Amino acid sequence: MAYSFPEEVLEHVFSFISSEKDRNAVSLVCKSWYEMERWCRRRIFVGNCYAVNPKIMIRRFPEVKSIELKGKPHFADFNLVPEGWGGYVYPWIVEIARGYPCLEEIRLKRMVVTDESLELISKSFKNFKVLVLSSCEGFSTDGLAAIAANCRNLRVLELRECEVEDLSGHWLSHFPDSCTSLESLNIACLLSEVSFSALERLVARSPNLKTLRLNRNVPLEKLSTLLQLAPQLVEFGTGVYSAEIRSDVYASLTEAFSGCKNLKGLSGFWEVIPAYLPAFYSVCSRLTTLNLSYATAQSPELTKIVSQCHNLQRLLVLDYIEDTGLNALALSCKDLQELRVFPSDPFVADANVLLTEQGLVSVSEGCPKLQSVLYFCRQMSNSALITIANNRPNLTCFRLCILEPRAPDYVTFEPLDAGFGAIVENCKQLRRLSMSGLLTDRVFEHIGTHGKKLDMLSVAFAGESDLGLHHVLSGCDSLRKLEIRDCPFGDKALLANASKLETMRSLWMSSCGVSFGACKLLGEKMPGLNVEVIDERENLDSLHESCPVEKLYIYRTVAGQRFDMPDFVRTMGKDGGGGVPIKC
Amino acid sequence: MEGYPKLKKVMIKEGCEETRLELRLCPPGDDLYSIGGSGTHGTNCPPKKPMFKTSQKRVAAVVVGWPPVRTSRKNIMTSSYNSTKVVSLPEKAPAADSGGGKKTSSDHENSLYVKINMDGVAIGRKVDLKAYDNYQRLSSSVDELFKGLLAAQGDVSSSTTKTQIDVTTGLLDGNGGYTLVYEDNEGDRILVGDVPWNMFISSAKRLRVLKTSELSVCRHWNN
Repeated sequence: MAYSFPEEVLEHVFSFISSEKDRNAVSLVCKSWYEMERWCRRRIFVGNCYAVNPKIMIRRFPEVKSIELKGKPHFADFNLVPEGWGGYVYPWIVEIARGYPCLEEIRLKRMVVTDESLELISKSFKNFKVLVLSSCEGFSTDGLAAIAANCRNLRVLELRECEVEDLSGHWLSHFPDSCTSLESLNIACLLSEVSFSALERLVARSPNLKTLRLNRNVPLEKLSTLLQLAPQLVEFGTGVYSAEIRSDVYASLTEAFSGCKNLKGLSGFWEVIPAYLPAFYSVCSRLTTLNLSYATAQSPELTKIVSQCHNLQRLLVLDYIEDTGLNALALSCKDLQELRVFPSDPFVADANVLLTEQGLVSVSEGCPKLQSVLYFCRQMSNSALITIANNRPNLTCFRLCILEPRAPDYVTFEPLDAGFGAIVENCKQLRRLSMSGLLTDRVFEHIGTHGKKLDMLSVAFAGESDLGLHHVLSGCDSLRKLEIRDCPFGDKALLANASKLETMRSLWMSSCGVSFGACKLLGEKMPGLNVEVIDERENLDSLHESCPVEKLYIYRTVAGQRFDMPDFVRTMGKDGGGGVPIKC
Repeated sequence: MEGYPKLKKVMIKEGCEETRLELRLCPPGDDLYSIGGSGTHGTNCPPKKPMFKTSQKRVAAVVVGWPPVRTSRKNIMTSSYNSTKVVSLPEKAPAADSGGGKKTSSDHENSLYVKINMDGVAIGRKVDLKAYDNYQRLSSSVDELFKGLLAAQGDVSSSTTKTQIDVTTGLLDGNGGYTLVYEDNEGDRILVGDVPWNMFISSAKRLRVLKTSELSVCRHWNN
C-alpha cells in the first residue's frame, strides 16, 4: 500500500482499543503498527509473573500507567502450594520504579508483597492512584502506613482476602489531612481494629468515596455514623453485624441505610443478629450485588432478604439459604447473572442444611441471565446436571463442588460423566469449568469434543487413565489454564501433548502419576517452558526416574528459569532460557 | 492402576480445630465412600442429624486443600472471629487480641464466659461457667436469664410473642419444654449433665436452650 495513515491518526484509533488481546493483535499487523502500539500501550496484564521479566516489558512498553501481575497458581488458595514457593513482587517493583516513574496503578494477585515493596511503591510514583492487592501476603500494617502517608493522590486502596500482619490499627491515621481523593477503601481482611476516629475523619474528607468495605471490628453501632458521612456510597461492606438489641441503634441504622440512595452493593455481615437485618431492607430493591457469604443467618431470614432484591445480579451466600431460599431467588431475581453458594460446614459429611441439587436446578430454571455458578453441595445427579444444561445454555462459568470426593450420582450411583458432558455440550460459551464427583475418562472425552471455548479447567479425583488427560489437551482449543489434583494421569498424555503446553499459560498437577523422569524430559525438550517439580520429600535430586513427583507446575515463559526458588522446587532440564517469543 | 498413588494419610490441622477427622483411603472406583448416609434419597427425606453425640460424628476424609474453600471460609459455623484469626496465620505472630470484637472464652483466668442462645430468642447472653460449681446452679441461672428475655421479646420483635413457656423445670432431665445442651470443642452437641462438671467446664464452648420437642427429629424438617 502506497499510503498509510499518519501516526497521529493511528494513535488516536489505537486509543480506543483497550483489551489486551486486541492490542496484541494490533501489534502483529506490521512493524510500524508494532512500533506505534508499543508507545501508546498504557495497561499491561501479566498473568504469570515468571513468564516474562520486567526489563523485557519496560523495554517494549515504555509508557505504561497501569500494571497487573499474578503470581502463585490458583491452587495456592487451598494451601496446595507450599510456603516459600515464590511469587515475590519486590524485583518487579524495583524495575518498574526505575522504568515507569509515572505509573499510576498496580494490581497484584497471589503475590508475596513485603513492607519494603509497599514502601518503595509509595515513594517511587509521584502520581500513584490505585493499589489493589488480592490474595497477597507478606506485608504488615507498617507497609500500609507507608502507602497512606506518601501517596498524595491515592484513589483506591483495596485489600482483598490478603494475609496481613496486624501490628497496629493506627496505620489509617497516616493518611494526611490533605488527602481527600479516596474513592475506594477495602480493609475487610484486616483482623485487628483500625482507629475508628481516623476512619471517620478519612471518610468525612473523602467526598468521592464510592466503595467502603470495613473489617469485622467496626461495631454495628458505628455503621450509621459512617453511612451518614458517606451517603454517596455505591458499595458498602459492614463489619460484624451483631450487637445488643437496642431500638435507638436499630433506628439510626435503618435511617442511615435509607439515606444511601446510590447503594448498589453490600457485603460483610459477619455473625448476623437477625433482628438487625431489616435495617437494610430499604436498599434491597436497588442492590445489584449482595455478598452474604459470611452471614450466619438462617434460611427464612436469607429468603426474606433475597425476595426483596429484584435487581440482584450477583449473589454470594452460604448454604444456609437452603433449597427453599434458592427457590425464592429464582422467583424474585430475574436479572441474576452470578450465584455462589458456599458451604457452612465443609468438613462434615452429613448435611447440616437442606441444600441439594434442587436449589441449583430451580435457579437455572428461573433466572434466564444466569451465567456464572459456584456451588458447593453434598449430592448431585446426572439428571439434575442435564436439566441445568438444558435450562441454561448461556452459562460461561460452571464450578460445582460435591463435598465428598468421587461421589457418584446419588440416585443411580453412576458416574457424573453424562451430566458434565451435557454442560459442556450445551453451554457453547463455557469458559470456565470445575468438576467434582465420580468421573471416568468419558467426561474428558466430552470435554475434548465440545469444550472448544474452555479457557480454564479444574479437575480433582477424576478419570481413569492418561486417555482422560489426552482428550483435554488435544481437544480443548482455547485452554489456557489447567489444574489437576489426585487423578491417575501419568507421563504418556503429557509427553504426547508437550507442544500444547506452549499455547497455555500454565498446567498444575499434584498427587498424580507423572514421573520425575518425564518431567526432566519435558524440561529438556521444551525450552519455552519452565517445568517445575515441587516436592517436599528429602533428596529431591536423587529421586528415581520412575518415581511420581508430588506436584508439578508447568508454564510457558520468555524469561528462562527463575532463581528465587526454595529447596523443594526444581526447574527441570534447563541449561539456559528459551527464546521463543510468546505472549503471556 | 500403576503409577496411581492412593490418597495420602495426612493429619491436617489447618482449618480444622482438632485432629478429630477420620482418615479414609479411597481407591478409584471403590465404593468405600458413602454420601449422606444410607436412606437419603431426594429432597423429601433430609438426612437425620443426630442431636447428641451418640457415636462418632461422620466426617469427610481428610485431604489437603479439599474441599476447595479458602481459609477465611473454613470456620464459619463454629468460630467466633478470634479462632479464625489463629488458624489462618500459622507462621506469623498471632494478631493482638485486643480492641473491639468478641473475645474467646478463655480470656480471663477467673471466669469462663460462654455464649448461650435459646430457641425463639433472637439475642443471646453470656454466662460465666466458673461462677457455678454444679449443674443445678447453672440450670437455675439459665432459667432466670431467659425468663427475663422472653418477657422482653414482645417489645422488640413484631412476630407473635410466645405464650407462657415454663422454663423452670426440666432443663436437665428432658421433661420440660426446653432442654439445655452444649457444644464442645469439636462442634458436637451434647446434653448438659452427661459428664462430670469439671470435664464439662473444660470442653463446653457454648450453650443452647433447645425446644425438647425438636430434639428427636431432624431440625430441618420445615413446618
